[in-house]
Order: sequence, then structure tokens, then C-alpha cells
Amino acid sequence: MLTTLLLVSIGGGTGAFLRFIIGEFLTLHYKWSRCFTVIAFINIVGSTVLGVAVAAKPSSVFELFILYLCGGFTTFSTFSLEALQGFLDKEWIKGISYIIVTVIGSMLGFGLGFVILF
Amino acid sequence: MHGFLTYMAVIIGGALGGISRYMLILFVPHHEWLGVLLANVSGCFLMGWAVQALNTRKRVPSFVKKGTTVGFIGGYTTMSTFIADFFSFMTENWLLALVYVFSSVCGGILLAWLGMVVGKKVAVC
Repeated sequence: MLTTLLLVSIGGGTGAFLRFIIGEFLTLHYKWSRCFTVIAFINIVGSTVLGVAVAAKPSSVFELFILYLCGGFTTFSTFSLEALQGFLDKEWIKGISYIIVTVIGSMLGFGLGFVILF
Repeated sequence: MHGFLTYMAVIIGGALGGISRYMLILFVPHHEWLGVLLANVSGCFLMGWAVQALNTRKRVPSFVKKGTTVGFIGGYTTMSTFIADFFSFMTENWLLALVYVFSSVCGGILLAWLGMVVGKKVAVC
């Protein structure tokens, strides 16, 4: 139980930290990267990595770690908030396309990551 | 750039968020996806609340804001596990998989909005 909690917390902490510094880096160095695109990028990359990891059929210890690493790296709450912000600004097309790009992109990433190892 | 304290707050927040999601999944036996769904929609509510009630306060230090929103709530909710659950649903029942995606996305946005409404009224000073 203690090992499990340790793995979950290290995975979650590292994931959130990576999301934070990558987000910071992208917004500092690239003009195109608003919060919108950064979170979409992070979610798609994180889902792809998890797809690869799941396909690799790792040991249960490593699987738990990678699940919570990718879980902490990707985020659903910021995604929802960004979409909501688009709707509140009455930018319907922007909000809808953001949802579609993120969800479909993450699915494709996960599927592609899964297939790559076969 | 941020200070050391902010980075530490994000790491600790993310670790606590991961543990909270793990605990929630543990409390919903046999239905891992339900735990993830609950974590995601409740996290959206918290995020909506936090941006209204926490991030608008000048007196709340930056590391508390980043630790709560980017760290804890961001780590508590997840996109990748949600997508992985969608795929395991897909192999059993594609209709259920679509319902899962729609309820997560619509529920998340609805609860984020509700959180913003609550956050405007219940403010933390």
C-alpha cells in the first residue's frame, strides 16, 4: 500500500511539474502557444505516451507509475475550463473545435501509440 | 519565471491530486471508469471555483494559486486515463464508449460553469 501511494504521488507530482514547465516554456518561446493550444498539445502527447506504455504491457508496478505520470501530465479540468471560456466569449466555433481537436486528437494519439508497438 | 516555492507547490499539488484520484477510484469498486469520470467532473467544478474565488485575489500568494490549480486540480483530473478507459469501453460496447465521452465532456463543462457561479459568491479572502 505504501509503495502504491509512493508511486502514485511521484507519478502525479512529476506529471504536473512537467506540464507546468513545458507550458511555461511553450508560452515563453512561441507566439502561437496560448493556453488553448498548449493544453491541447499536452493532452495529446500525454495520451500518446500512455498508448505506447499500455501496448508495451509493462509490469504492474511500472504500469501504475506511468498511468499516474500521464494522468498527472494531462488534464481534464483546464481543458473544460478553456472550452467553457470559449463558449462564454460566444466563440462557439472556437470552443467546439477545441473540444473536437483535443478529444479526437488524444484518441488518435493513444491509438497510434498503441499500434506503433505492434 | 517562477520561484522555487511555486515549483514545489505544483509538485506537491500534483502528488496530492494523483493520490486523491487513486483514492476515489479505490472507493468505487469494480468500476475504474466511474472513478475517473467522478474525478474529472468534480475537478472541473473545483477548477471553475478556483479561477473565480482564488485566482482573482491579490492577497493569495502566487504559489498557492499555481499549486492549487495547475498542481492539485490539474493532477487530480486526467485526459489520458479517460482516453484509455474510452478504448477499453470501445472493445466491449461502442455506444457505451460514446456515452462515456459525451457525459465526461458535457458534465465537465457544465460543472466548470457551476463552479464559476459558486466561486463568484463564495470567495476566499
